[in-house]
Amino acid sequence: MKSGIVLFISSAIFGLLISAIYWSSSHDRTGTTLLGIMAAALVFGACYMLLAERHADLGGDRPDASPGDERGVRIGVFTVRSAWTIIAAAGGALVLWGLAISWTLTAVGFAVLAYAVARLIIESR
Amino acid sequence: MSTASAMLDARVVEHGIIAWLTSTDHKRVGILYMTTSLGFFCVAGMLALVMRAQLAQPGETLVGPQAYAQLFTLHGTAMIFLVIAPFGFGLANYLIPLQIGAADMAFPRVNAFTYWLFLLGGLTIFAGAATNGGAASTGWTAFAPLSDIRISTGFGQDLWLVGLLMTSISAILTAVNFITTTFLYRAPGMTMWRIPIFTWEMLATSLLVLMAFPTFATDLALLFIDRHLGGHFFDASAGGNPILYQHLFWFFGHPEVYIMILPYFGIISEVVAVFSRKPIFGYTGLVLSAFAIAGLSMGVWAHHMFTTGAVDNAFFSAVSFLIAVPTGIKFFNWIGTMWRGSLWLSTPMLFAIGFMLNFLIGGISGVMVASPPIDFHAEDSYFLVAHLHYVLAGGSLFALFAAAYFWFPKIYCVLLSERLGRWCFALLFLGFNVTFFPMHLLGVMGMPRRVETYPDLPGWGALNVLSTVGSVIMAIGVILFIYDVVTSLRRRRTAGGDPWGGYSLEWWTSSPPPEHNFDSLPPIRSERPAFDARHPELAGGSDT
Repeated sequence: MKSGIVLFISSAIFGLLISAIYWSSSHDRTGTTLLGIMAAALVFGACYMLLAERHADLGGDRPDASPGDERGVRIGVFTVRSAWTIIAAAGGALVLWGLAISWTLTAVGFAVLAYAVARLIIESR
Repeated sequence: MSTASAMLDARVVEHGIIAWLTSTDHKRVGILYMTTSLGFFCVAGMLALVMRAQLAQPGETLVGPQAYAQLFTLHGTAMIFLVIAPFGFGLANYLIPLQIGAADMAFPRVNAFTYWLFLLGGLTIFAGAATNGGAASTGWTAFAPLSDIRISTGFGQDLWLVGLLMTSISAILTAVNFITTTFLYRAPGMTMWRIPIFTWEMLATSLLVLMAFPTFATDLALLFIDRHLGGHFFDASAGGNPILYQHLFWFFGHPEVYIMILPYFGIISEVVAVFSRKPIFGYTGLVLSAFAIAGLSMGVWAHHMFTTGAVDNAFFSAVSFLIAVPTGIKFFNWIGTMWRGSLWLSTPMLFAIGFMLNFLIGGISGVMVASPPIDFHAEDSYFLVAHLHYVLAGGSLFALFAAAYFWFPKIYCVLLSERLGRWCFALLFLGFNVTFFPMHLLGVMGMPRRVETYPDLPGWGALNVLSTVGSVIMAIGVILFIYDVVTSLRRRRTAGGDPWGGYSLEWWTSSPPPEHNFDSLPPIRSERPAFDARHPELAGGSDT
């Protein structure tokens, strides 16, 4: 996690630096805004990583850890298969196709997508 | 054995089409991604052959201007959004959990969802060809005002836009999955500085996707609002600004080039090390250069806009030149890895060397057009077509074939034919250079891109014929590859778990890997855990 934090913080610093250099060089509002949003996203990511790191105890972060060290640790449920992923994608496609074809299709797409997501949530319990 | 493995032992591997289509196993999702992207590759390649046939001689009338515009739009869109980047995502889907010792991706069902959204997005883009007005015809960039509803009236343009929105959402979710998996699901002992270079490159790629694709989705959304909801974001006649479209597009578009190349840098790093029989030279340098490339690529977008006169050319030129430095570091590391190595010139290694030679030419021409005076001359000419293809076809595509020959035995436990592989490489290398090198000369002579015909000027006809002949040679190479895959799967020359003496964890497990990936894991004490476990007397790690 620490490497991840360093990665996000250094990327965020780079983003802030390049935004400042670009603004001082060009005074272009469009480009500076784009770079600024990028830097803000990286700052957000870095902050999240800092918070997440407090509760993290990952075997992957310990250089001397062995595979057997995590015996008995639950890491969650892995779903083997699900047809709802296809239906959710179809729902998402309907939402977007509807933008080009008909708002009714978008409404149907939202309903399909919402139902599929609900089924996915139920499925994971 | 980790708990993940124990829990997943209970899984029953199911076969049949339904089991495949509904699977959330990262390996199956990865194979679906790669197979689909290769399908799109064949279609996009055929479109390219039609274009080359049209351009074989001046005044050819095989296709008209509108059809030609649709051809290059679909070809470019498919190769960029449906082939090169998604093949990298597919391979990463297959490899990342295996390389870091995980049982699956962090979000397996999101993973499957992204594949289906990608597939539907790709089909939506191509569906435009079946509409009355035909497919989109504005190039893969769809610049405003060319893509304005008053100029591009066809429904195909809307389907293009909607299809790309789908693939963009798919890419963003895929990136989230890759980042989460890499940070949180590493096996005990697999510290960040021990993960294979390919996984590092995918981490850098995923960050780029998260930074770049939302801007692209925004650009598409604004274009949609302009086209259908009365917006005027890019309409100069109503106070909008078409240059804003270019800013938003290239803020995504240039990082997208690196989204299409960083995974392939990772592939080359893996292949070169294994076939040089040495640890990778400069592991840390390779990792840092990947992030330097990713970071700098976010600050060079407007080098595509030098000729608009609306951007700070000096800034973008300087940052563009800077990218050559970390890219040079990668070349230095690959050569350093090969230096005094015990080189095994098998097919994957041949493709890796082909990649380096082609990409070097593409990189050098890239540095040339990063200079505004040269760019003003080369803009919208065939020189740019040559540069782009040397980077993405001579580069990424050759690495794609290196990956196919390298990891095919892992995925199917079947070796591809070495003899056919060498022929495939020879045909593709020859065909590629015969196709695209003459385009440099055509560009310098002033031949514009994106036109369906050209005047019969001295040298133009001969170079275009040469280019067309080269494309046919490439097509034969691709057909040979498909033949090799089909016949190898029928003959089933068994590869065993590790035919190459690979270094990373995917070579530790069986071929194909079980559904839970690993029955057991070796201790992980360097970035070459599989090698260390097999050769404890040589265990050590990077040659840095």
